[in-house]
Parts: sequence; C-alpha cells; structure tokens
Amino acid sequence: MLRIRVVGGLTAEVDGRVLEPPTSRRAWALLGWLALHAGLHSRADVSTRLWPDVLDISARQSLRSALWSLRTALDDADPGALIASRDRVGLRDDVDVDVRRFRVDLAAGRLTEAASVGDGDLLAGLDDEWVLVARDEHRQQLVGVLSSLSAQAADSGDLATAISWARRATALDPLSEESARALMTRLAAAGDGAAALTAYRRLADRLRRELRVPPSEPTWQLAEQLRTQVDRRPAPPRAPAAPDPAGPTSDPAGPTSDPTTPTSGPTGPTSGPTGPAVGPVGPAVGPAGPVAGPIGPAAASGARLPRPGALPLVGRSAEIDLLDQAWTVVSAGHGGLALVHGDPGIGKSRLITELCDRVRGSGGRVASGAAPDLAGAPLTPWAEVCTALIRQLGGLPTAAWVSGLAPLLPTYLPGSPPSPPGHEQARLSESVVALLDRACAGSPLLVVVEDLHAADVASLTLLSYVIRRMGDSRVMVVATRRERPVRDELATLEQAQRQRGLLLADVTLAVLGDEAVSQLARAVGRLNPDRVAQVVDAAEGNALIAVEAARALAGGRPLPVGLRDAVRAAAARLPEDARVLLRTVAVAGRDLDLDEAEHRSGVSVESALPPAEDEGLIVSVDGRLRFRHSLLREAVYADISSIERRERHLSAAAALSGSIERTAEAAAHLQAAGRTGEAGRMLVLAAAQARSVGALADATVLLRQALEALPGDPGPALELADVLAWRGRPADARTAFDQVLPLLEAAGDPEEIAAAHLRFADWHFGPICQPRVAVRACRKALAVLDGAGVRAPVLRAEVLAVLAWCEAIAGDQRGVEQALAQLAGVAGDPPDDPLIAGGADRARSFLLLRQARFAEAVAPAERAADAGDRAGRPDLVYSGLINAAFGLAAIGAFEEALALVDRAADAVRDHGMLAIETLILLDRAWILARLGRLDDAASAAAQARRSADRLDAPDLQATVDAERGRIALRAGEHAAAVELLEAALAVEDASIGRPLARLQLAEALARLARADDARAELARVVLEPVRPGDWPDTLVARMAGVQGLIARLDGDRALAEKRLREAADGWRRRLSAIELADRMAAVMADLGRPVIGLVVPAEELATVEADLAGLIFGKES
Amino acid sequence: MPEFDDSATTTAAPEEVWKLLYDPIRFADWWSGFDRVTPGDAKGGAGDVTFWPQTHPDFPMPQHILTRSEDHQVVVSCTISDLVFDWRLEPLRLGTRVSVHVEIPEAEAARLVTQQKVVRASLRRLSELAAES
Repeated sequence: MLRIRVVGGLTAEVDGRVLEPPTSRRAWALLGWLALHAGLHSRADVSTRLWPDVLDISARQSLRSALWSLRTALDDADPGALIASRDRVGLRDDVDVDVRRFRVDLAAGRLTEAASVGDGDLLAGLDDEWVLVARDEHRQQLVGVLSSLSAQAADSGDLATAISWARRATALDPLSEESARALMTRLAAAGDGAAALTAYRRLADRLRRELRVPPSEPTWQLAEQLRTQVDRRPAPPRAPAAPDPAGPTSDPAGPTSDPTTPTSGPTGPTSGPTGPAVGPVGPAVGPAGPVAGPIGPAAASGARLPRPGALPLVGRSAEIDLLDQAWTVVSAGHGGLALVHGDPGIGKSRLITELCDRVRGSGGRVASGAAPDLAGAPLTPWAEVCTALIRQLGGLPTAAWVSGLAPLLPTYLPGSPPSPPGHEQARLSESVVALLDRACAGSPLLVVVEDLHAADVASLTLLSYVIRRMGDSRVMVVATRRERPVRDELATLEQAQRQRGLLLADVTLAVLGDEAVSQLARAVGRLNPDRVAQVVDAAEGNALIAVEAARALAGGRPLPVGLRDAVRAAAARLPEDARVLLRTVAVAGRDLDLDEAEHRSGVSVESALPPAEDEGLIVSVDGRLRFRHSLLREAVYADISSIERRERHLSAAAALSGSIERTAEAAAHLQAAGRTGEAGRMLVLAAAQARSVGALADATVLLRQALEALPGDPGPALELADVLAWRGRPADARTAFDQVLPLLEAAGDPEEIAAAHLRFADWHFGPICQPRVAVRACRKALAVLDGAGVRAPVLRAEVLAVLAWCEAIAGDQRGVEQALAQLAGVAGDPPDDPLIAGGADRARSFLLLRQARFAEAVAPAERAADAGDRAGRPDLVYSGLINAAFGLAAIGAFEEALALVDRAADAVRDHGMLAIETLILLDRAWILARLGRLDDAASAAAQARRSADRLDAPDLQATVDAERGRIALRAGEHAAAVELLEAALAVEDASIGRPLARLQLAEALARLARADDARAELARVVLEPVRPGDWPDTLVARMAGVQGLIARLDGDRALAEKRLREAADGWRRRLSAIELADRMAAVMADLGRPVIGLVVPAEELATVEADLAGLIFGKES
Repeated sequence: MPEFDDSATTTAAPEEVWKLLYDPIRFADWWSGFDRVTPGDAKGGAGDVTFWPQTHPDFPMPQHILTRSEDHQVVVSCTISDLVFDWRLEPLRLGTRVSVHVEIPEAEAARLVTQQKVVRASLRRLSELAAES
C-alpha cells in the first residue's frame, strides 16, 4: 500500500520500499498537492492551483503530462493508488499520508499522537505559493499541539516534559513570541531562570536580525520580571558584598540585556514581502479596451477617446500584486515602505493611482504629497500629506502634540517661540507621527510621496523617521522615484529600511512589452493593427509616449515626432482660457488648488479645465490641479515665450508674497524671472523658515544661493555661519563668521556688530559647548556697544544674560555677579522678557551650585523653569527643574528632587522631545537608587531604554545601558551590570563616560571573582579617552579600589589593603561640597546638558571602606 | 615660541602611571619644584588646581588641567605664565613610556633651560613613583 510522507521532504513508499520520484518536478508537486487534499478534485481546480500563471488550456495540458509521469512512477508499485478520470483526479482513500493522520489525531484530541508527525517543513524542497501557505498552516497547527501538550504537562506538574514540548514549539516557530513566553515561563517555573532569560535573548536577537523589531511589551515585561527574580539579592547595606572566594555567586549564564541592544553583527534576511525587481513583463493582463468613465475628444472614427487617466492599468499585474501584498501586510498592523521606481513616463503614477483606488475601495485612507518641480520649502511633500489628513479628519485634533506641527502648517497653527533646531525637528517629527497614528486609527492609511528623487533632505529624513516609528502600525508609505539622479541620501534610506525589514515592496518598472503597449494603444481608441504597430514602435515601452501616440493616431492625426510635438499639438486644440490655465500651472511647478489656479490665471477654472483634461494634459486630484506627468509640464513650459514666462514667474512670486511657508517657492520664481536681488532676500527668509522646521541642510543650500545673489551682504553670511554652527560644523561656522565680521565692521553699525558677536556666543554655549569662547564673544559685544556709546538695552540685556550664564558654567565666578548686576541695571530685576529673566536665574542658580550653596540654588533654578514655561520653551523648563533637582539631591533631599524630576517629565511630555524624556527617566532612576528603591530605579531605567529604542538612537541607548549597568552594580546584580556596561561600551562614540563605565565593568567582574577579566578591563581603561566631564581624578580612586578587589582575589592581602586604602584616601580627598559642585559644573559643561549626578564620593568611600573592613576582618559576603 | 620634548620609560604598569598623571593633587609627589597642589583656583579664578612652588610657597599658580580625548594626553597649562605641559602615556609590552611636550611663551623664554631640567627630573621621579606603587 502506498504511504506518502509530506512532513520533511516528500517521499513515497510501498511496503517499505521508497519509490523513485518522477523526473518531472511538476509531477512530484502534483503528488504533494493530492496528498494534502484528500478525495477527488476537478481537473480544472487542480490545474489552476498548480499552474496559476498560464492559460487554462495550457494548465490542463500540463496536468495531463504530470499525471502521466506520476502514474508511471506509481502504477508498478501500487496500481490504482492514483485515480484520474476525465474530470477528476485524486489519491485513493486508503493511501496513507502522514499529515492526514496528523489532522485526524488533532481533530480527535489525540495530541501526543499528532505531535509524533515530526517537525520537518511540510513538502520541504517545494516552493510553490500553495506549498508556502500549507506549510505555514501546518506549522501553526503543530505549534498549537505542542503548546497544548506543554501546558497539560505543566498543569500536571511534569515541568521537564512541559519544557521539552515548549522547546519543540519554539524551534518550529522561532519568531513566535507566544511560544517563547511559554518556554520562558516553564523554565522559570522549573527554577532555571538563567535558561529562561537565554531563551528570551535568543528570541530578541532573532527578531532584531530578521525583522528589525524589538520584542513586544508582554514579552519584554516577562523578561524584566524574570531578570529581577534571577539576580535578586537582599538590598546590601550601603556597599556591595565582597566576592565569595568559593566562587561566583551569580548565575553563570547571566541575565540578558535589553533585547534591542544594538549589535554590530551581520543582519539576516528580512522577512515579509520584499518584492524582487520586476523585469520586462509578459503579456498584459487585465481588461482590454476602454473603461467606461470620463471620456475625451472624438476619435477619427467619431467615438470619443477616454481620458488618459481613465485608461486601465496594463502590463503591471505583477507589480500591482506586489503592492497589494504589501498592503495586506500593512493592514495586519505591520507598517513600512513600498518603493516604486523607473524612468520618466514609465507608468509609476498610474500604478500608484491604481493602488490608491484599491485602498480606498477596501476602506483605507489615502493622503498624498509630492516634491515640487520648482524649488519649494523643505518638507513640502509632508505639508501636503498633513494638510490632506487634517481635511479628512475634519480639522485639527485636540491634543498637545498638534502644536508641534506649527512650523510645517503655519496657515493652520500659530507659531511658537523658536527652540534649538534639533528640538524643533524632533518635535515636528513626533507630531507628524502622532497625526499619522491618529489617521490610521479607524482604517489603514496609505501615504503617497511622489518624486523622491527631487525631495529635499528634510523630507527624506522625516520619511526615514516615520517609517521607523510606524513599523507597528497600519501605515504604508509608498514612494516613487526616478532612477536618475542618483542620490546618496536615497540609497542610504532604502538600505536602512531594507535592513530593518521595513521595505515591504521594491518595484522596478521596466519598459512595457509590445503586447502591453498594444493593449494600451487599443484602450485609447480604435486602431487597426498597423496603427497599433506604429504606436509600439514609437513608444519603445514608455507608457506616456504610447498613450500620446495612440491618442494622436486615434484622433486622425499623424504620429507626433516626440512628446513635445504631441503636447504642442494638444495645446493648440484648446480654447484660449484653457491654454492660459495650462501655462499658469506649468509655471507654478507644483499642484495648485482650484482657487489658487483661478486667482493666478485669471480664468474660470470651471470652463477652462475640462478641455485641458480631455486632452489628457491636466488632471484634477482631490481638488488640486497638476499635469498628468512632469514631462508634459516641461513640454508646455518650454513652449512659453521668455517674456510671458518672466511675467508669469513674477506674478506667481507676487501671489506668494506674505505666505511664510512659500518663501522658498517665491524666491525660485523671482530667480526664474531674473530678479536676483529680490530673490536673495526671499531666500534668506526661506532659509529662516527651513530652519524653523529643523531643515538645516536645506537652509544651508538656500543661504548659499542667497550669498550668490547678494554678494557683500553680511546678512546671508551670518545666517549661514549660524546654521553651520547648529549643524555641528564649528570650523566652517567660524570661517564663515570671520568673513562676515569685516563686512559688518565696514558697514559700521555697532548694534549689528554686537549682535553678530552675540550670535557667535550663542553657538558656543549651544551646539558648540565652549563657554569660555562664548564669554570672550560676549565681552567683545559689550566692548563694541560701549565703544560706540550705544545703550541698546534689549541687545545689551541679551548679551549680559548669556555672559552671566557662561561665566557661571566655566568662567570667573565674580564675573557672574558683575554681569547679573549690570543686567539688573539695564533690564530691571527681574527682567520682563521671560527668556532673559530665565537666563539670569539660570546663571544665578548655577553660580550657587558651583559655590556648593545647593539649597539656595533651588529657588532661582525653579524660577528659570517657570520663565521657560512662560516663554513656551519646554527645553528650558526641563533644564531649570533638573538643575533645581541637582541642588536638592546634593543636600540629600531626594524625595523633593524626585518631585521636580517628575515635573520636568510632565513639562516635556507630548512635545516630541523623546531624547529629553529618556534623560529624565535616567535622572529619575538615579534618584530612586539613592532612595534605596532599586527595583523602581531599575524599572525607570528600563523605561528609559524603551524610550531610547523608539528613537533607535545608539548613543542614547548606550547612555541608558550604562546607567542601567550602574544601577545593577549598586544593587549587587553584578552579572547584569557586566552585560549592560559591555553593551554600552560597545557603542564607540556614545558619551557615556567611557573610563568610568569601564572601571565599573572591571569592578563588576571583580565582584564576580573574574580576576583576569577585571584585570584586562583595567588595562583597557588606560586607553580610553578621558574628558573633563569624566572627573578624571575620581577615576584614579576608583581604579585603586578595583585593583584592591583584584589583589584580594589573587590572595595578596597586603597589596589589596594598600590599594583599598589608596582608594579610600582618594575618595576622602573629594568629599568636600565645593569639590562636588565644581566637578559637576565641569560634567554639565562637557555633556552639554543638566545632570543630577554621576558619582557621589561619600557613597564610593563607604563602599571602599566596607571592602576594606571585609578584607581586614575576614568578613565574607 | 621655545618648545621641547622629553620622554622616559618605566617598568611600571600603564595603570600606575595613569593614576599619577590623572590625579593632579599628587603632582607635587613627582613634579619637581612644587611643594603642594590644591584643588580649585586659590586666586578665585577659573583654574582647576593651584600649584604652590617650593621656592615661593605663598605664591599660588593656578593651572588649567585639560584632558584631551585623543592620544591619552593630559595638558597642564598655567593661567599665569601660560606655560603648557602636554603629558602623554603609551603602554609598552613591558612597562610604559611617558612623553612630555612643553611650550614656553616668548616672554618666558629665559626659563627654557631650567624647565628642561625640571621636566627631566620630573620624568625620572614619575617613573620611579609609578614603579614603586
């Protein structure tokens, strides 16, 4: 009797003798299908399933051939096993198939028997679509069986068996978090917490490698819970216990690190549909002939031609299928990016239109944006997308994050006080994400961004951010681009999404085949075969040219020489008002609202539009007019006379005057009209607008253009220097500034010169943190004003506020008092301007901190925070409150400090400041650790890690890991500390205090009795870069302490005591409050942000003294 | 501007030299000519530490200490005389090499020879102290 095995590879045997498979692979696949599907099936059904891509007649022929081959292979061994009548085929009922037995056992509840079917892939070696579906289905069923068996065994107390079943389940479906959680729970119940965490780590690594996602919240929470259970010890009295000479006390496997710790290893293949590049397509699929709908001008035969936009999608069935598959994935909650690229006119927009129609038809939402043909403001595509979404949502949502959209949508929202560009960009990005999130709440969302090849840098940056943040949502961004120009930013963006597993489809549109072009031509109008052949010859696979050629021939006109010829001819047939509208839209270089088009053209859109649409030149989409293709626009534009072109550009610029978000566009029109000077001034405004959305790269480009337009004008040069400083290019900024200063001095306006020095100072206590340089710049500014006898109270007050702050950070303390006194004389005490008042209080507070007058420093710091709040600057609220919290923490008022940290968190929430939110969580963790609430501290630090993961910022993740490691060290969780600190140190450029982190790593290793490893880490400390913010002399005391621990492990008690005493002396010398205050100021200046605290000498001394006591009195841990 | 370089090799482990270079309070233990070093700026300025010379024990000399992030350098620059001492350590297979680069402003050029002797003696003492640790 025939026995067929489909689990694992496909094999057939009769009475123990394995049958040789037929030479035809299709025949073998047929056997596999029949084995899976019991009973008899219609030939039509079977042939369609196995040969889906060919005509029915061909498929049935293939089926006949396959049946013949199969029969030849089977009949000798078991005649009659294969049943094939005229209409139906199948296997005899008594043919034994392993997966059928599995299903029967499953249905009968005989789980153990069902599980004996084995773990191999169903029909391994076959890769047809139906095989993949069946394989997944079988795998899910088997995983279900194994999970149930595991649960039953666990319930009956047989944990070993339960674990065994659970391991099989996870091996079968290694990406299943549910299976992983079950295994982790069973292992933990069996007391093997370390193995449970190892299972978690394997899952996290695999998810990261293959899908570029972290584990979900429930899985992560379970791991955290297990981790605390695995390494929990009673809270030590102030100092960690001395290492047990008998050997390591913590588990050797060690708890896992956070699953999203960045690795530098190779990434595995991504899963999910990432479509291959599609080559030349075969015969067209889809309706042949015109579609009923809007129709155009008459054909030569008298029938009216369909408008090009109403033509069916031809020759792109494979491509639309890929996009459909991607959409299916997105609809299930796995967002991502789909790319469509190809040459101009190849049909990208038509494909996208088809996709949009299908999405709408299935109840999804669509919002579109495009990079303009003419230079526009940065983020124009995203402004269009957001505007469309707001309209669809019926207006702006009521939520705190909405205000973050203001720089992008100034017509909808009032502006807010300027923040540092980095904050603005982060805030705007998070607000866009929030808007998309809101829009996809009810139904999946398709965001279309067209012409990425022409998009500005800020748009690409935001695209990358959105894709990353929306990976778990029902949002798909589909973007189109041409193959040229080649842009590095695009290649980087695409590669990054590919590696993250967020590139859902990558569709290359090749030229259409002759059959498809023929079909397209026939869809345009009635053409005889000769005419169709002419279209095919002319088009050379380009859809746009094919349509234009077909329209010409169908309209009884000769074949156009080229696209421009076709467009010219079409335009010539239009009434005058339609031609005016056409030229207006061509000059505009982007989509125009109907009102805008009417206002600019001076004609009635209602009457002018239809003929232009009929000729297929212009389309109206969602109330906006655009050329059907940019090549058509270029052709129309090229035919406009130079005089008219100039006039229309000037008119467009005038229409845009007063529109903040359109200044770059207005400048482009002025440049096109030859009004260079006016364009230059407009470009400076455009650069300011670009800066307001954090688009610094675009601002740089605009300012360089402005410099060319306005040589000798210091304004653009100074703005350019400012932007370069904020882009972290200090040398370029200083060079630009050095070129500006002589121009300003030549102009002779002392206030302008002083203001320039103030800008220079701003850079040096902002993006380039060199406060001493800022002090000198402030003094120069004051010297200029004093030398000219100019009071300029507002400017002087701003300079004095900055001077006071910089002196407080790293200058002369007496200078702070002097500057504040002068400030009071100029602007009153307190000043009316909240930013100046806040700056003064910030300086006052910091001075007091440096003088170790910690309690007194709290009030001015809180006032600075309040001033920041009045000024609408959450970043200043944050810095003020954290400085106040530092003062409180320094005097041991930890509860009060915690309250202020929580206030800081409230102040920045919903402002898109994820990086700051993460740092606040770390501050919270630090204080909780000092309060002895180590579990809460660990929880806050873990939250910080989740926050850092959302940003996918390796530097920030490393900072968080370092702090988590320190908390773990303090809690005596040395294995966890090792893992976390190693992870932090693996990120080379992160500002984590590398020498400190490595010394703490060495300490953790020493406390795990890993003397050699600890020694090796000490040797590496010497090679770490040491910055002022590392508080270098405390590192010396710490190193001596670790050397003492190692010496004790080596059995050298004398050396151990010597080193520990050396360490104790070192810490004792640093106990003074002044020492702490001064060093913390250096740390803050070095890190460029407020900190609560890193190192507390008193605590370190207590730890060393405990170690010393343990050594001297033989006290074991 | 007058300047010179000097170096010495010690059998001491790099960590021992590192501890001496990064603990300014111990500079007086090996840096010839100084009685003591105290934290902060004794003249109320922005100096990081204050050196007190043996020859003039009541004359404070505040210093900036700058640790540079490349080449394991510790740069000590005097806020009064503007002399700059750039100390650097380099781990060897067996021991450590300590190098120093000194820059003397024109106004202090007369101190060149003296400083060369001071630095040579300091290097020797630094090496000995590190080896003894």
